Amino acid sequence: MTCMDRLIAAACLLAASFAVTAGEAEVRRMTQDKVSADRIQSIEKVPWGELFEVVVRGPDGPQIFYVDAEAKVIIVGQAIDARSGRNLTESRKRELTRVKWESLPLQWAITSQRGSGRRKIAILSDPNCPYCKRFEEDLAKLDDISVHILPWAVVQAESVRQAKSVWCSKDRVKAWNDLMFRRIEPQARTDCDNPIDEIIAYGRTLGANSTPTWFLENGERYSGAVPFEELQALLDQASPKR
Amino acid sequence: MKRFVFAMALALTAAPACAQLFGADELLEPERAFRLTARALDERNVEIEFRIAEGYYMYRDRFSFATESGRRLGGVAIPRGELKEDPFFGRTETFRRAVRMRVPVSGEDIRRGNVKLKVISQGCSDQGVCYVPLEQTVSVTLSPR
Repeated sequence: MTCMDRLIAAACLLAASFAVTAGEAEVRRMTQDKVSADRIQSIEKVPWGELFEVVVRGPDGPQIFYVDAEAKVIIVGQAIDARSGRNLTESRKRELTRVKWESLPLQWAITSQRGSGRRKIAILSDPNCPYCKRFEEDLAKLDDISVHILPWAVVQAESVRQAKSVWCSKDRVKAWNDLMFRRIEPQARTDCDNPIDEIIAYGRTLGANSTPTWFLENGERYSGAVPFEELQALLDQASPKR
Repeated sequence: MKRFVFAMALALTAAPACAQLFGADELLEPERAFRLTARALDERNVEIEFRIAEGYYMYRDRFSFATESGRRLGGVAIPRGELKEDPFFGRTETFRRAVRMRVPVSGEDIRRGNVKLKVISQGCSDQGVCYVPLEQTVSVTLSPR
């Protein structure tokens, strides 16, 4: 690169950064007219085009909008990479809802391990959610895995009693699996020291609104009983062989 | 012919993006999956309607209604749902597409001419998730005869 080239490049960069900040101020002003400032999580230029991404804190986690640099239009929807078909909005949302694996309250989990336990998953699961059952049945087929179940008793009032009773059982893993897979009601009392109410509150602070909601070792968060092959691929990706 | 080949190539390359766009990838927020509207049927009954997005369903026995202050409302007329005999979860009745329910309101609400209802509902998506119960509030002006 010649000196002249360098100068031109620097000038372009400078110009670009000025343009960005100018647009950003417009977008911020417009956004603040619409939602209270404390709900605005971030405003950034998207890496793939001439738009700004506005992230607003919603009751169910972050919401993503796109706004043009003049702040004239708000775009509500999904951005898809035209070449790869990748859902850019979805990936960004995943990034924003990422948690630190170490921050998960696994002391409240019902944990089972098979094989080396290499692949790790933590699940907010409810005994009255049919998809949680299907999801856990899939997990039960996998080897080299650590499964941490956080009994998130939110689907029905009955779930709370069941979850507490499971926690108070001598063998929690067995009591949970009996309930989930065989519909054998737990028999233990429900008044032992248990974290069920704390787990309900914890899930809400994460903005989770559906079951199963689950986390992988890399902190990525997902919802739903995804197909078995996809689950395996995601687990391997998040917990690679070392 | 050349133009046709080009169009085909374009259609093929666009396919993955379209699959994502229209596919089952994106989960709706519960308020959008289960759209609630309410209207006065007559001076003592409110009709609650849920329009349910394609691929989503709601449980009949999970609806509950309360006044703004939290008093539970009884006597709600809910139609029969689609019956499912599940060996695991027992008998369940579910609704797809839409469900309409009639909620009788109190004399006090009638005198005031409007009512605020708290509606609790719960449903799932065929994509493999169940939502936590959803609480929504609707306000309805009662129509005097």
